[in-house]
Amino acid sequence: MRNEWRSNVWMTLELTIVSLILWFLFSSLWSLFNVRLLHKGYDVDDLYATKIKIVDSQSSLYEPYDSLHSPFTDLELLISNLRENPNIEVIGVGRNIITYNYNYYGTELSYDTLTYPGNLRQLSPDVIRAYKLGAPDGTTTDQLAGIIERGDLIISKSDYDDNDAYNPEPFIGKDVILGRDSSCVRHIAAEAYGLRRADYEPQRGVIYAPLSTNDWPEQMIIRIVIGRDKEFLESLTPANKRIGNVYLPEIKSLASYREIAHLSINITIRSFLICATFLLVVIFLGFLGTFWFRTQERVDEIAIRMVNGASRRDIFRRFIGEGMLLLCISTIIAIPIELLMVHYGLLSDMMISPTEITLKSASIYQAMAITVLLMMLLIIAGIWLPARKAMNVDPAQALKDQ
Amino acid sequence: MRTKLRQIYYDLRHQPVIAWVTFLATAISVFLIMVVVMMQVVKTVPFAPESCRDRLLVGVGLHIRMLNDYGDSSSGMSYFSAKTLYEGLDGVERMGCFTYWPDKAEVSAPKGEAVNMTLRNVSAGIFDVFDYTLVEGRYFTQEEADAMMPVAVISESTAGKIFDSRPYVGKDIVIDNNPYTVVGVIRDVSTLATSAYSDVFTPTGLNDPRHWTEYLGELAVAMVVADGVDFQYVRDQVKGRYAILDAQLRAEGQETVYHEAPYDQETIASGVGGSNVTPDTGPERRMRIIIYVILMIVPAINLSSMLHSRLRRRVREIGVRRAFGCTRRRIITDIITENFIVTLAGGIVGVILGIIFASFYSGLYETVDNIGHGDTPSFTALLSWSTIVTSLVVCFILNILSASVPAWQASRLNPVEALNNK
Repeated sequence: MRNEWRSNVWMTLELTIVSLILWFLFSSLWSLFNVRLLHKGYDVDDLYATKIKIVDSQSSLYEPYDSLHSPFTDLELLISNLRENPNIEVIGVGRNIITYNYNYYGTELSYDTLTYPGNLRQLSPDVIRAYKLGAPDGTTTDQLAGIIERGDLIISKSDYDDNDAYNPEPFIGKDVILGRDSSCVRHIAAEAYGLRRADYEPQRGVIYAPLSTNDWPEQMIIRIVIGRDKEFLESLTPANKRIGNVYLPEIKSLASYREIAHLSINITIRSFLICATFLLVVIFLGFLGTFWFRTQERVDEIAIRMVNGASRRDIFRRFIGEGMLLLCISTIIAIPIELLMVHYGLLSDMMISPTEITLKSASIYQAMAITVLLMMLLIIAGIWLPARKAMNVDPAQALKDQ
Repeated sequence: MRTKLRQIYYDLRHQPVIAWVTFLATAISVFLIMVVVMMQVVKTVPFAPESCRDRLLVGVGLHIRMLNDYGDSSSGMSYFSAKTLYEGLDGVERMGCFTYWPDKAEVSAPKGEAVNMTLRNVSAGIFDVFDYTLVEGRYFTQEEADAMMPVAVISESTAGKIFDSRPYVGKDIVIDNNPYTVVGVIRDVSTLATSAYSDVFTPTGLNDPRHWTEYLGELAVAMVVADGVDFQYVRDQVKGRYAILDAQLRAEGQETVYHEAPYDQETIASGVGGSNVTPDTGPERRMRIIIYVILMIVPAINLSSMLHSRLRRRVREIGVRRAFGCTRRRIITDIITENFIVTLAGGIVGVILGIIFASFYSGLYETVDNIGHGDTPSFTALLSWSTIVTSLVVCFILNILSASVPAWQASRLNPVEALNNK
């Protein structure tokens, strides 16, 4: 190896740079996936959502109401008609109730000197049932729906940062002021999981409040019977999407809301993955080329070793050993640089991580492991081809010239 | 030159694996740089109807805070604020208002089946700012817009979806349960035109009842700045206009927060972030530069190490040439030229791969918000001179980076030692 020191220095330098970059890419991706893999505490499968709109009163298509009717009675009829659809399990209505929507309707709860800021989601109890919302302490969906039914509030923990302001514990069981109006006092009955705005965003503080009877529910969530998507969509006729002036413009699955909400982040993830693949391919090609040349140069050495009783496996091991040693050296150089970069926050505004990356974040160490593992595999692959060719040498032929 | 090419050919044939690896590594890296460049180019290169991107400024958002520090609100602008802040600026040729974050609307022929299409409320000026192609009829006028006349301009494919036959102009159309009349039909717009894209355009003006407040609404302003006028000059005027709006707002206990509006296409492309923040293109630009550097440095080290190996095979040849009086400079130039030809060949393959990839895969381009996957960009947008020139420059830099050190080392060979093959 010493004879090849110059090319080894180049390879080590290349490996170090590539491991730094791969580590950066993987820590970003890994912290995203860590957030995505967090237990959500609610179920988005078989769910559909839509806005609930009212025909503009200026429109010539507007149907004026008598004293007994209003948009609320239209909506009630529309929902009760929909409930007769055998493909539908639960229908819930509310405001700001669709996950995969970057809306943030911020308000705060307060009592004594404590405040809890959260994303206000006003809903009917059936929204809780549609999402099958759960709670960290095991409170069931029906119990949570019961809390909303009797007019109390539910809040959730925020995973966003360690800020104590987001700790729901001191609020549970307390009567608090909702918003800035000190006359609006409500009881917090439980903690539940928070409906997130996107899968790549950690849970933020959420305040679930019952929808007041005067508030127009702007959105509807529908849980359908498992696997009945086709039947459900076919069963929706213009007639059962509109009663009077109230209509449901577009009923879309939550999966399609998810696709739209994740559009931009997915582009970034794809770019990062393409970049990582490219670097790994370059490493593979680099090792392939260099070791090809190296084994050709060392045919004599290999032949002498084989004559002296070295098996093919020994020779192969020797080459792989050289590759691994280079990887080891580059990893030893790269790790302190990576830790220093995290310590000084050099990459923080370039990382697409949803959470702050510190020396305590598991993702940076997971990324180190993935980087080393992948590079190891690619180096082995790059060395394997030339090594195999070199091992096929006939010692007598190779040493003929000597 | 022919001798040179023949020499390269024999050299590569003699070492096929290393030659192929060099060639492939170059092709892949040029391909990737092409893709990264194209991802950026699509966001900023002018193409119809956003042909004015080089001179386009967009005023997005208005942020108002209460003087007693009791809170703030921000969103798009009302038509009134848009006019106050942006109308009649010096050096601005054309301006128009449009909903920055488009919405979906249910569109149908009367009693027909509804389809969901993208809707933007626009002032008549927007048809001057963006060069849409009118296929039928006319655009609506600002007089019609101010009077909130129920007239609409729709795209050709929208018309095709809801009507059975041409002509489409003059037909009644129902948009979100409001009756309108089609006055104009335009050619479809690519979803990559993030500001100009829409399927349906309905009027907005001074009397639009949909604004949230007197000042806040859902509008942004697009304007085309005259040739040679500095963007900062326009921004300075806008800042002055904010002061005018402030004078009025302070009487109501409020004031504006200025966020460096209006923004150029690069800022728009990297995302304005929201109506209550000052957009910062810095991190994205830094990230892009880092990506370019990475995509060049890593293959360069690789190629350099391989060229070094290749040259070691040719130590004797170099020794002979040196012994016969060939200068060091000549050796260096020869090696670099030789390497450049290989790099260029790899680069051309990379460019072709890049074009094929871009035409068949649209998953890497940002399209209009909340619309989802759009179409692939046109060849004219992608094959701009800047993309091709960038790729060639990349080949050249890659070559210099990878060949200079080995070439310099090779030129330093002592002919005697080289011929001894030490």
